[in-house]
Amino acid sequence: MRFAHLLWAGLTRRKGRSVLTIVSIAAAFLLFGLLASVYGAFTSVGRNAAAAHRLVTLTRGSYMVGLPVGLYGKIRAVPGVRAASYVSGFFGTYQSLQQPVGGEAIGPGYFRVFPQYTIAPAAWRAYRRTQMAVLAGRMMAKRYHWTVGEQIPIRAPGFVRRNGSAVWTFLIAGLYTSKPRGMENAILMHWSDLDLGRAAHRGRVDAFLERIAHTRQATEIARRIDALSANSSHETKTQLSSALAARTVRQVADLGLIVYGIMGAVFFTLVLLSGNAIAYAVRERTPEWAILKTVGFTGEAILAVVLGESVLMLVLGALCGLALARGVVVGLNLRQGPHVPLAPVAQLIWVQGLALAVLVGLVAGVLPAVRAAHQSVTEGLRNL
Amino acid sequence: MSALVEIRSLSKVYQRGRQRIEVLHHINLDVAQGEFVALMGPSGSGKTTLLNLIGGLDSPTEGTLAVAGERIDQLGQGALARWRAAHVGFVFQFYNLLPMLSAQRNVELPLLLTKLKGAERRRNASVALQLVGLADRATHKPGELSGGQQQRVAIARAIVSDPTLLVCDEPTGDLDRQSAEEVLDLLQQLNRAHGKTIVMVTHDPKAAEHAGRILHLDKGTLVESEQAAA
Repeated sequence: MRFAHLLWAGLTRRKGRSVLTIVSIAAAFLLFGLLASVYGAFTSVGRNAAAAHRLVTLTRGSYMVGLPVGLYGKIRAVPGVRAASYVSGFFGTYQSLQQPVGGEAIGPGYFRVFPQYTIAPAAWRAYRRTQMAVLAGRMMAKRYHWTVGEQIPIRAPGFVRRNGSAVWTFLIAGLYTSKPRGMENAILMHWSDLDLGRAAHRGRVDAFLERIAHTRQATEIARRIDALSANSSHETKTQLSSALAARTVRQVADLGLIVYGIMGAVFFTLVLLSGNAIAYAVRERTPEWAILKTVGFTGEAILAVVLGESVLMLVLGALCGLALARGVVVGLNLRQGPHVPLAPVAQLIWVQGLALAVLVGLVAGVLPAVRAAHQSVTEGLRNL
Repeated sequence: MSALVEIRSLSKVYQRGRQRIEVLHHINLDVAQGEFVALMGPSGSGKTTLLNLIGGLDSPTEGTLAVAGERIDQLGQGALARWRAAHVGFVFQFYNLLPMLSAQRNVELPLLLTKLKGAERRRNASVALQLVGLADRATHKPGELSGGQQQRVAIARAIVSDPTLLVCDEPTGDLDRQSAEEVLDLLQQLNRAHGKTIVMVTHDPKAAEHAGRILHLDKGTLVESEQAAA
């Protein structure tokens, strides 16, 4: 702390250059924050306590065909199943193609399988007693400025109605909140309304969902559920929600490898860039190191000053970049479609980012610092 | 009067590639406690080299150099830096202030290495600036001060840690006559009123007259010593 003003003075000596370097560093840490957020969003899908007690039953055949809703009663009766429901996805746009709306048409018992939703009693009552009613997630309602009681027309070309129209008009019965908050970027509607209204795929659902008491029973219960439709035209595959999510992410790509690959390249470049900037600044200030040594600064003290300056620059850049990333994530989550909302720039990402900044600062600054520390006083004074 | 600086058979050789340049040849010199010595001589005579050795900025190739009884020729780089911080103040021709720091912060620099707390450091620096007549310029950066004022800030920095020895390398070389006189008067006052031992390199005979003794160096050898009028 004794040298704090020295570090700051060194950093602000050439303001233009320092600002440009810090902007470059901030850009790298913006990327770091965003990639960490994307990675967190994908890897956290289904990774919660509720997901560990939830099974998902999908068709082994074509996803387009789905499963007959008639299986629902049989699944509910399977020993070990505490609650069950079914869903069909629903996707459309509100007012313009740039305003996507996604949601799920849900069957009875849905909220017993997904207890992480919070719905006000009045909203729940209004939803239950009203046809073509939806519950809107708070984030989505905020994004499109929806209010309770409002009629919203959703154009859904993938869900043509029996009358040939692709426009579905819903009444907003209420809003819901959820944990994680990403689930608030959707609408929930009665599956029966979708099924009665649509021209095709009637009586079919995308998936059945089951809540079980113990994770250790999952394999046995899944086997029993799949046995219900064995050797039929609609065989099923049941698995834990968390396992399904992890497998889906893996099927998309080895996200970890991609993220770490990009980050590695970015930070390698950052070490070179900031190392070069610091080396230049240290060389330029050769006489100043000599002055400090003249008044009694030891090589170690000079080393500390240069490294401190390097770390300070990296930390400032990292703070700017991570703050920007936080803002971008919040903004994107408000604007984007319903799928896989970005994970917030959490405390862990800040800690990791700042630790990385300190590390890069030390690596980038070590060579110039050692050079300054070993510089001869008389040689340095001769450069004045 | 006891000798503060004792130099015996001191030589300094620089190696430039294969070339061996002997800058100082077997110098013997005593500087008494409280003495003001001016070191004169033509360019390349070794004045600054000798001054750097006395101030502990460089190490001799041969011979012994003791200041206040301590053999500084035997100290390593780190120990020498710590010794400088405690015992020597430096004043250079081009002031050697850090341009991005205020006068106050520049004066505080040597105190950053002591155990003094921030408030004490600021107080000591203020006292030093007051002593050189620049208390009202404490917040000014070097670029906002005249040459004479910058040199006085440099003197304040040299005396802030209360060293026994001041080494000055052409302290008036970059100043006009009036500023030079002010700086020399200040050095003389530090010598007479505060008992500082001063070794000053100068080309200027008028500046040398402020010293108590004038030494002449030529081709690395002390050739003459005379008592100054002052």
